[in-house]
Amino acid sequence: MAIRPRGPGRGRNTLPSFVAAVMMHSLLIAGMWFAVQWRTSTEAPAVAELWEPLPSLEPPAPPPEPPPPAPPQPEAAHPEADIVQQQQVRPHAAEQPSPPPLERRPIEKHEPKKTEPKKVEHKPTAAQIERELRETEQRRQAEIARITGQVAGSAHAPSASAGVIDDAYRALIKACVLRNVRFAVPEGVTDQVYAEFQVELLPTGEQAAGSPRLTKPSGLPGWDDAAERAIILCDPFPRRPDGTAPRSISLTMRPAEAR
Amino acid sequence: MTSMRILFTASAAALLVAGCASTKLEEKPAPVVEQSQPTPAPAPAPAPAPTPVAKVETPPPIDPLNDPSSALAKRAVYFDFDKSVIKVEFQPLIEAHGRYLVEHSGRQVRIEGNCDERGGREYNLALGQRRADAVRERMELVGVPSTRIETISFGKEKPKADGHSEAAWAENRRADLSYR
Amino acid sequence: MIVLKTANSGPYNPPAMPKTRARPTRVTSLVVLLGLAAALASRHAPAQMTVEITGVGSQQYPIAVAAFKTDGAVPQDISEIVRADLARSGQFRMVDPGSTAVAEDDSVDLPQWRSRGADTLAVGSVSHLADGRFDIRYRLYDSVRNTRIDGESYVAPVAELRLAAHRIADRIYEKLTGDKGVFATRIAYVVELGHAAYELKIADADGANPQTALRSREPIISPVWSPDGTMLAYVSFELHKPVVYVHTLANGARRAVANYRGSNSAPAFSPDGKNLAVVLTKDGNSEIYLIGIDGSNPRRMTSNDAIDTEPFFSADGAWIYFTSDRGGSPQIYRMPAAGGDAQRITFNGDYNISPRVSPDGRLLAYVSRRNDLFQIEVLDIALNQELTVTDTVRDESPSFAPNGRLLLYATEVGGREILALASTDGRARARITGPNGDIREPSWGPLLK
Repeated sequence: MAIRPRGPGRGRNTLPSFVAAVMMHSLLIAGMWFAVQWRTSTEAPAVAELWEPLPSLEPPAPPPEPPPPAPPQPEAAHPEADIVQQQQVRPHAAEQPSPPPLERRPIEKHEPKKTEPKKVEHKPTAAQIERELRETEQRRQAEIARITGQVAGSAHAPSASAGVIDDAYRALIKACVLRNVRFAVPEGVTDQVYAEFQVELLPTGEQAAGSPRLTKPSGLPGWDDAAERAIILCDPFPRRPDGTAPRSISLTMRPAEAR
Repeated sequence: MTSMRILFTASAAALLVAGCASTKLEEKPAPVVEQSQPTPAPAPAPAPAPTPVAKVETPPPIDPLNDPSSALAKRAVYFDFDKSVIKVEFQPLIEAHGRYLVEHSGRQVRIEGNCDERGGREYNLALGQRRADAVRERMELVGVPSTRIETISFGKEKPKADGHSEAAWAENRRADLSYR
Repeated sequence: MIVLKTANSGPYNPPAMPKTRARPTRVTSLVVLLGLAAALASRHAPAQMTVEITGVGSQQYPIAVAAFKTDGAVPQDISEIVRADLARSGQFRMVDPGSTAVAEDDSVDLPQWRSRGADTLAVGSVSHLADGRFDIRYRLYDSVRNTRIDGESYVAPVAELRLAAHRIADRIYEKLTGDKGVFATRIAYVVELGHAAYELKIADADGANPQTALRSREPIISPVWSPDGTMLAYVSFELHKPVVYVHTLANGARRAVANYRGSNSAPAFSPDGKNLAVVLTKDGNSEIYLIGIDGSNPRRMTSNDAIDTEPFFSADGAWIYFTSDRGGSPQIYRMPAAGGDAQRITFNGDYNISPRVSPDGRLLAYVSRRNDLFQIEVLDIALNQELTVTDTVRDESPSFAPNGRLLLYATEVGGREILALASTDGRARARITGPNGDIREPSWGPLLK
């Protein structure tokens, strides 16, 4: 049955109901309004104004100038006896502790008003060389393990990995020999000075009879003997990761680096 | 003084014998050269001056060098560190000594330069020399002929004040006037 | 002096070349040629590996010096003197030899010594001879290479026992380092016992055997050795001014060779021993002159208003290094010994004095004041780089050892003046104190011929 809305104003007095309707609608709208307001209104956040300035960030105090040069270990005490017994070198019972870094300063030709800036060159000490070689050795070993894993699993053996293995092996040899090189390098020796030795190895890594053999003397007095002793003392020679050792090795022994 | 000399000679002799008895190297040991009595130096204190020949009947005037109240009683000029410049306060003193020398042509002076203990011995010898020379130049300005001034240096070898204080160092940076 | 040989003198085995006997066809010969080319192109035979090793593991030689065998009481302990010498050089690490005496002709278990850490071993003996002298023998082994490096014997009277020990130490030093040893040399120095007691002394390089050359109530400074070791020149204040003397050690004869008006000081012998450079003030301020060693023929070398002092000849006699403040502060200069313009050498800092050139001419040592500290610098002349070699701070008067490896100098520690040693590479240091008095002004004598 269709319901047709009754036209307005017909029938009994509709004013009270109209007013009621308006009131109800108004109440409804007002309620909606407040509800919406309540949800969307944002209170301004509480703001605390800082009247005191923040402490300024000063640069840290410059480090104090080290006394030039940094004095090394104190002298060993010596008895007040005859002048003959006075001289003592710093500890000579054990291996000399690493000496302080030797600071070599260039001399500028112009008249300086202040002292020259100092270039500090650290000559590697025995302990440092050992440490560095050990670290290199460890890194190489890790590298070898990774690559040999790869090589075993891959069809192609890239030549680069063979080079890496050889380099790592060389580092082992260097560490083994270098630690026994005992020689006081005179000043002024360049990296052009070197001795060459032929080393023959048995499969065990031990040196064959007649090894090492001096194939090119350096001309620097004392060096060839010191180098030969160091090679002899590397006994046995390290072997490659696969357990083999090269039959012969040519060692170039150089006392000094390029300056 | 004599007992010191005896002690000195005795110990020197003992050392001489000990030196000869100890182990030798190839050549014979150097014999100890005992110092002959050195010519006595003119004492820094003023030597008694001969009374000047009186020209008038009035009693002879005291030589100002002997007069402790005269300006010439001061015989030392002091210097700043590393410097040989004559400080203003010493100029009158030097000029007074200079005028004395001009008036007493028989007199000679030796100026002895000194340094404090810091620095090398030979360089300090030269520095002391420069101080003595600075005093001489100022004397020459008032007319003293250079032939009557000798300048030498003791460098840091004969300090008057021992010790390592600023006061000791200041005392030793000094030129002394030594008359003869 | 280190001589570097540059020519190859050792045997060298070239890689094996393939040989062919068959008459070559074109293909074969091509193959052969390619093979040759490949062989030539490859640097090494396939099995040959090359390794380059640069540097050293330690600067010190480990050595054991065994107690020398003796046939009775000997006034000097030869092996102990050798040990002390080698240790003092800073270039040896002494390995404990134990107490057993080992003679040069005893059999030795070299691998055993090697396992104890001694790369080299010195042994020997001292025996009494009928005439009262001693027969001293020594042998040096390489316990790593299993060879005998050296052996020597000496006959010495009791007075020269220490010298024989020093000679042995010199030989060991030379065999292992290649440098001349300086253990058998002497040093001169001045002792001040009080304000009026000064002595000029000469002793062995290890300080033993001090002998007095001069005693004086007045200061003595700047002693220097003649190149042949027979004379000393020095400055004495005995005449109450500085005067230069030349003193013959054999008989004590001495002569005032520079006693001019003013101050006379800073003697330095020319390498040929014929002239002395000195500083005179006779013509004004401190200037450098050359005079004969008898004092004759003074020739003026410098001429300016500045201080010129501390002349020092280079080993070849071509240059005179000296201290001058002509540039406003004391610095080191050098001029040709034949005369000519001076050139400045030091530029770092405002106080560089007391130049000394090493016997091989490579190094210049001097005293530098930086921040009120007086320390010794060593300049590598060719590289123009300087290095502080001392750890003391009131340093004076450096003097090179005749092998150029050590510097003897004077310094002050704890209010006392002492002598000290520093190696010229800055690595080793030692101190020398005396029983009494202040020691200063050292001068290292020449190598004994």
